[in-house]
Amino acid sequence: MFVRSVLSVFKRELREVAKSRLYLAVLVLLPLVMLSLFTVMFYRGTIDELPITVVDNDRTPMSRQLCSMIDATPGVEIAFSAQSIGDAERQLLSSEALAVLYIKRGFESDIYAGIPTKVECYLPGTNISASGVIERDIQQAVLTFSSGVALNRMAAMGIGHSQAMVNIMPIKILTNTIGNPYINYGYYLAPVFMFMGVVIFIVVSTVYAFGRELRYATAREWLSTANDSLAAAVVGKMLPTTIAMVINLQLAMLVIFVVMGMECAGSYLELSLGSLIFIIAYQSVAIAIVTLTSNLRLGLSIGGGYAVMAFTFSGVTFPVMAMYDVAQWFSKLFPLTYFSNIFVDKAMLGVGISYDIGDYLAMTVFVLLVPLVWRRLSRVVGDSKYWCRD
Amino acid sequence: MNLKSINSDSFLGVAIVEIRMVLTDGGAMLILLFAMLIYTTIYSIAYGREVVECVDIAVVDEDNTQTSRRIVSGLRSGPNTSVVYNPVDMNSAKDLYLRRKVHAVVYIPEGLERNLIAGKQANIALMLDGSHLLVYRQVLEQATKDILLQGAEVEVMRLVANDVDAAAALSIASPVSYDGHVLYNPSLGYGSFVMPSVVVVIIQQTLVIGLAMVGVRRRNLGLYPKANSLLITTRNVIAKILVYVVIYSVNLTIVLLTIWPLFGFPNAGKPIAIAILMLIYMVAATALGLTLSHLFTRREAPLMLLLWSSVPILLLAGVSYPHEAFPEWLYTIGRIFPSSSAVSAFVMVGTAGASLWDVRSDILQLLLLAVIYTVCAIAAEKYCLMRKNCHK
Repeated sequence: MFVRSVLSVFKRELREVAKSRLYLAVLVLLPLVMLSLFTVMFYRGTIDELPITVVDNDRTPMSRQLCSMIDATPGVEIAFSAQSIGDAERQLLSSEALAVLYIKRGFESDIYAGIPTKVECYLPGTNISASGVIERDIQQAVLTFSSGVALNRMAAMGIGHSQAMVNIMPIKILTNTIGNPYINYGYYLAPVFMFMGVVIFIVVSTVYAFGRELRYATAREWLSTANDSLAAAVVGKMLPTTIAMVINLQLAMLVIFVVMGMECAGSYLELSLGSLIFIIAYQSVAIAIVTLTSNLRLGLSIGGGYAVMAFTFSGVTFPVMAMYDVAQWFSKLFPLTYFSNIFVDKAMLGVGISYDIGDYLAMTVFVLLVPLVWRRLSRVVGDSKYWCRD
Repeated sequence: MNLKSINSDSFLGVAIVEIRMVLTDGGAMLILLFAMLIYTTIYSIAYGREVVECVDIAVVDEDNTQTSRRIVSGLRSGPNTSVVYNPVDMNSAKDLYLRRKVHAVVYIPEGLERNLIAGKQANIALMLDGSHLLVYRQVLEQATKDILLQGAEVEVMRLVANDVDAAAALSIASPVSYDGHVLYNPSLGYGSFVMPSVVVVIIQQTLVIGLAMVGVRRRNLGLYPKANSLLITTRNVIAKILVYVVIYSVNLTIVLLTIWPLFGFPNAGKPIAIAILMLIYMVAATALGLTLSHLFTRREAPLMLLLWSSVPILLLAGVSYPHEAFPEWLYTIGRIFPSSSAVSAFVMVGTAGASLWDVRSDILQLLLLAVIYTVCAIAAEKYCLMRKNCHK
């Protein structure tokens, strides 16, 4: 009986999806557009050939050699040269160049005279991601250049090559980067951007599915399709969105693991289970919002605002652990926070469910919002004074 | 208040009706009047801490000598890292890492000091978290600095012991050093970096969504002037644009005068340059909103169809994620949004203190978009009036 009621509501909802271009757009069309856009955007995954400008006041073979070593790094391209620091800053301010490399006069003669010298670099703090890449590559190139000079000098002093290497770098640092060994920005950013997009469509389509019945005064017809079982009416109505979003998230993971070539280190099944709870958790929040506002458009505004905010508080851009305490607490109010943890655990670290069972449970807690607003939901659905609010 | 009772056949009348339209619609009011203040406040709270400090790390010190302890104490005193565990071996360290108790592990094998004194190369291993690049970078930077510093000290000591004087020793081991300076946002604060872009995108997105809501309602109510010559339509469109430019100027001023100083975001810009840039941008964004508002027939549709685009549009501007990392054609297409040129111009003018001349190519693009979208808005309204679509 219950199942039959759910099915008839489900069918009624599917007919609505087929009829409404708006509904179809948020369930199918726009998610596909969003996924394609992020795929194109993050496909390359590396940030390279960032244009910088050089002020070479030395103009010697040594300074030119250093420049060509910097130019040869993957992240940096010496695209411009400037006569003075002032000219170079104008290039920074007009966004043509993303950093200024400054080599002072006397660079080569200092090196020959055995006087320690330096290479300066000016980076705009207004472009953190680019500056990070540029600084890393220039620093590495300067270190290599400096080591080359030191090796030559020590060879002249009669120090053997292997001993000279030890002198230059007494402690060797071996790095082992877990999760994303090649520091691929695409692997790091694309998943959460895609999940974020899906969150917006989950919330918007769920609020629409419920709010529409109030806005266009069809709630009674909806309930009677469910043989007056509110539970069946709710489940049947959620289902089309749940199914569409499961497909969208599977597509997102197909893009990440197949098209972009990231390896899923852990259990894909556990990840998919997490993604299902994730969808239902957001649907539950959406139901609570539309019930409490009992107004389609206000529900959309508040639900939309809530959905978009998750991105910031999931910590993918700025880590949650570095936020103010109040913001850290706030970040717990978004299922995306837990799901991004689960994604990192499963896809990047490959750990089992025992490590992050807490994240699964936390997402499940959001489902409890529905029983909390149940009484109001049944009142709103049954009472015509909540209908037709534009 | 009956909206139809206001005489909307004058410049002022059109403007008053427009303000009334916003004030009598809760949904539109929330988006057009308050969203910008709410969002910038919440985002500033999230990003206000600015830098990632005191990342919890574990150190496995199997050497346990004076040298290794000095490295550990460097890592402990940060500022980027904070040593919270000293596990006995790498297995327990790895477990701590997987349980998110620490975000990196530094492994100092036995024999570090002995090798250094003997003039042999010593090794230290870092286990880093590649799943969050900001955390990764902070730990790597701190660990590299502390380890190289110790290595260099030992090295100089050894050379000095071999009768080389200290200055010469330094220049032999490291003849050329790197010296980096960060401009405009010296602490590399994340909020200072991202908030200007976020504010610019919020302005455009709330305008486009809010104006579409208002536009649908206007058509549903049949609020259009009886006279509809091209000149009058032009005047009416300009009146509407002006209303929103005033609302958003007030909001932006509040944001820049309260939230910016409160969270310490840099503001090196000249007020007049910021004002001129943002006025052109607001005209362009409002005109885009007025144009697009004609595409919608239901008031719930704009938010449902447009909200998702906020994040891609922020990325397309190519500042928060450098545009060199994605295809050139995508970046070029992104220029059709006024936010794209406004983001890079506002970051430079507002945060870095650039002059309008420095960002002239962005300004030119914005002017062009402002003209194009205003013409489109007038054309769309004229077309709508001619088709009598506007009257229900």
